[in-house]
Amino acid sequence: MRETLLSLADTMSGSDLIKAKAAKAIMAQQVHAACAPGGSAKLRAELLRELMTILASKRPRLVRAHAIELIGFLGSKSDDKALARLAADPELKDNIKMARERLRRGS
Amino acid sequence: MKRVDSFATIFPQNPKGANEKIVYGHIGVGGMGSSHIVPDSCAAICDVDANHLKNAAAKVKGSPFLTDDYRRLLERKDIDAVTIGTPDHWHALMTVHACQAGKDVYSEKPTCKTIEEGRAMIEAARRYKRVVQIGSQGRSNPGAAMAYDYIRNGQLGTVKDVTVWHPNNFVEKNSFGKEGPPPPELNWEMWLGPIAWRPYNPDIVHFNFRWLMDSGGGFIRDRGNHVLSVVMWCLNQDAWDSPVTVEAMGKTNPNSVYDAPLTMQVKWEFSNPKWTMTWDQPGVAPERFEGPWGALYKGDKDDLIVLGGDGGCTTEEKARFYKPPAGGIKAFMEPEDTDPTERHRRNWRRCIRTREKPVMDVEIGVKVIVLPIIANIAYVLGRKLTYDPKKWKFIGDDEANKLLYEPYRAPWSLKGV
Repeated sequence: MRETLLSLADTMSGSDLIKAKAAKAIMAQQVHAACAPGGSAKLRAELLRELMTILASKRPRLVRAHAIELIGFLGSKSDDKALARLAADPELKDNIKMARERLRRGS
Repeated sequence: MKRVDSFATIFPQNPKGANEKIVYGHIGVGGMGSSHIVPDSCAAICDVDANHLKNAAAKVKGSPFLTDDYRRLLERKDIDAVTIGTPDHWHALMTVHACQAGKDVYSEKPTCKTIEEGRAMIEAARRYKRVVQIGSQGRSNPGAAMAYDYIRNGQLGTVKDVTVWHPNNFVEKNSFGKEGPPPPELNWEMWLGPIAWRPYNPDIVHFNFRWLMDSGGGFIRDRGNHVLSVVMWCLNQDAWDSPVTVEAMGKTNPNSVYDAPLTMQVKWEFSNPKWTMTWDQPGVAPERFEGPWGALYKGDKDDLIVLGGDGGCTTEEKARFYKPPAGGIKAFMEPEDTDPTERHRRNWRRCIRTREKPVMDVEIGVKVIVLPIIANIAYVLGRKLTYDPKKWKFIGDDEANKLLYEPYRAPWSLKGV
């Protein structure tokens, strides 16, 4: 059974840098595996919901930035509005702009 | 602030006469870029580290304009040509803007970071009629030229397999560095430029930017630009245009700030002609002619080892003493027998006057660097990919195609090429 992205994001937020690095890598691996040709749409939707939850949380800036980057791969043009609502966040506006560009161009 | 994509409307193109002095601007002068400084013809220097600026200025006659913003350098009408020796994530953007500003360009390897950047560089060089040389100076190295003559004149027969070996990325050190405010001499925002924001960390500045996928991409993109340049040259594959599959795997150091893998194994399978290339990191140097990195070319008649591929490049005795037959193929080298890096720069300077394409023209540089770029994408995604060079995209993998480009942080953009 896969480890949830929410749980991995908590590990990534922790002070153990080795575990945090591993958690970040596993999050990316899960997203990339789900995006592979023939991947499950249901799984992608589930992962996307988790990433949106991470993004809306109070987790550290770099954790939320990682979630945004992964949304750029996992999401579609229809997710652009959700990101646009967060575009005013001063810490993450650049990351959101970059992810939205990937969403728009990848669709 | 002036729009960064507006240079082309400001500056005319001014090809130089044979006796006219070429005036240079130098961008990024902390590492290899410092070797490109032309002391008696330098009008401006740019670096985001004030210590680099100070050291570079001390090498130059007169009082060059000093800046930490390359756009200010490109605005100057007295500059004909620029050298770029910045971290990798700046190469493409600066090259495109320099072309738009009417400057000829010598940009360090790797050529670029993404496929889209490579296409933009070619487009800018052609549209603005600029001479753009990529600093893979193996193409100006007599050692590589000897291997070229030997292989291109059929001494190996048909080459079906090339094995590249290389040491691990320098990520063995167990450290995450100490994030914090940048030192006063460093403009951290300009160091980052188009890549996603991250806090300053002394472990990634300056040389070690190579071990982050965002700013460097590891040795496969760094030295890979050198060794693969020699491979593609020797095999007459500069214009390769048939689909290639790529598989890549590697292991990271879990206790390190760097995300480039420590070890890496890559296999490219070319479809027309059919041949295979592998990148073994670490690899085993062949006993009969050892060196820290290089390539073994296996043909159906013979094989050949070529060590290195940058300013240092040599090959086995059989190729060193080989003379091409009358009417045979012979590598072009600038006539003066200088250090290969200087020879490479001289080729660029001559081409600035003649408006010829240099030996490592940007289009060749892009064709070469595509191979490490797609290898890194295969590594990141963890699956085998097929890339179609005619369409500049992967076949049947939408996510991989989302990695043909990297969105830039504001205000940076390749628009307007």
